[in-house]
Amino acid sequence: MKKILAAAMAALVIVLVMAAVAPAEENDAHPPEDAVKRLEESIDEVLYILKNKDLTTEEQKERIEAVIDPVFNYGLIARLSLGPRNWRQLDREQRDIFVERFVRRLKDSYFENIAMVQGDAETRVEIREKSAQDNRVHVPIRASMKDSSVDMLYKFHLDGDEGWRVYDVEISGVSIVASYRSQFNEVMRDLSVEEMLEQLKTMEVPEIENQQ
Amino acid sequence: MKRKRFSMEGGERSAGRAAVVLLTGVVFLAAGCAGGKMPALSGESSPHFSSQSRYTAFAATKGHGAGPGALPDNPARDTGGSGDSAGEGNPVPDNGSGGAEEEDGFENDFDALDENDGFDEFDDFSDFDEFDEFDRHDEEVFDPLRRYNRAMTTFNDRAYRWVIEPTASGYAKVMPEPVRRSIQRFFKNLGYPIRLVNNTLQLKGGAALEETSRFLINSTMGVGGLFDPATSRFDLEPRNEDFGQTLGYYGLGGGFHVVLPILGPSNVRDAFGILVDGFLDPVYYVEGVYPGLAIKGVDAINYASLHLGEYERLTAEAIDLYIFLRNAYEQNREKQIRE
Repeated sequence: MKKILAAAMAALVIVLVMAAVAPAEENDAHPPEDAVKRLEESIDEVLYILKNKDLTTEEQKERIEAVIDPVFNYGLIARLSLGPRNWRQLDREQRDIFVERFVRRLKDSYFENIAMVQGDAETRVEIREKSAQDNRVHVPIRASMKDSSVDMLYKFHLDGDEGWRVYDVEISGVSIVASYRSQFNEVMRDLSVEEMLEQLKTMEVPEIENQQ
Repeated sequence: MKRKRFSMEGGERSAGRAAVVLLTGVVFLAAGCAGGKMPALSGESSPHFSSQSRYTAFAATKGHGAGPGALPDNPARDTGGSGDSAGEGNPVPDNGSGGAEEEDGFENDFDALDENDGFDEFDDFSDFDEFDEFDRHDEEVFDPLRRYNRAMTTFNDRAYRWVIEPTASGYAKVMPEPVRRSIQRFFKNLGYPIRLVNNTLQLKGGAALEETSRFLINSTMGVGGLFDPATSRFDLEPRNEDFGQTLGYYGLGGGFHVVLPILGPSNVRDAFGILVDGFLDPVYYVEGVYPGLAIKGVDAINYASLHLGEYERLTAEAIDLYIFLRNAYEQNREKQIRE
């Protein structure tokens, strides 16, 4: 009798455990580990390309773009960066223009940034413990260079068949999306949509002075 | 200017403060957070992962009288009614165009949506709904010194581009890089009392001990701090803490933003912290305040010489330099305090 009870208990425990695990079911095709793997592979490839001195900068850029493009959900990053309040002020065409220019800019600054990291032959990247919840996975990494290191956080979301894609990156705690969001909110007080789009064309820092 | 900040604390932590962080500071700053194991997410999982849904409601009531300013305070996925947003609206200044499309009712919205592809519209807004972790950046920041801050940001920007960086660049030509790195480490080592006291005040005993080990190792084996065997041989990374972080650790908010001359972005709490940390800085004791400041200047130039061009690169992506720096500073400090 005891044995039966024990068996029943065990069965119950198993069922409960399964039930607890079940919500993760929808992620079965794309377990959170895949996000980490994806990041790891992309980083390796990018570092490999950067270390290949036979390539011109332009070629490096092209290849890196090919590596990271599928990983980043650019459209989402662009929308989130502009924010709901500003997004609704744009008509369809303006939205397309916005996304295109914003993404161009994002990539440019990304390349600027990694060009800096690349200068350091000793760059090492350490991937740390991820945290996952529902359809999000946040993967912290630390890039160490000579005498210094920087913490970054890659934030992935599960994007249907595309698998895990990045919707934001934090560098030393500074979220790129949040940074742009706060700036767009400010700029859109004074500028029209057209003016804002115009400003996105260039990467120059327009000095906005005494703009109260 | 951000680098300058270092001067006050002789540490990279200042770098952190400066938004420099983004790119470069990167570099240094992070060193400050080194010890932290980046538990970030677990600790703050709710803000990051919470799934409220204001924007669904928001999209549905788009064009509601209160305009974009009235995001419901309470997530209202199911209500979606316009009444909600009016009542508990979280007033955010109208961004100018609200007036134009005001006062549509619910149904009119749908008409409007048809015109420019309403389906898309809803898709977009469900994204905003799902990724609501950025919402707090939509709120207006209390910034009473805004006017002054903007002017000082411009001043600092020019001071950095026109004076500090050219000086640092000339200095870099006469001083070999290894020497400059050693000087930087020397100053960093001197910041030990600040890190010790603040780690202790935050009850981070392990970190305080590590800092002490670092100081002893680097001061002896590292020849008075010129080298950093603690990191390279003993794997002991610096545990940067300052008084601003200590206050934050105990729950004190930053207060409004203040851009300090030369030192760059700060806030009320951290500016006070810099002052307090100054009392722990051996440089001022050994040499007196004014010579101490001059020495800090050397530290700053030396630091800048190791990070030439980074400020330009970092700020090139800014759409509004002041807001960019202010936001980056505050986000970075929040992270440092969490760790």
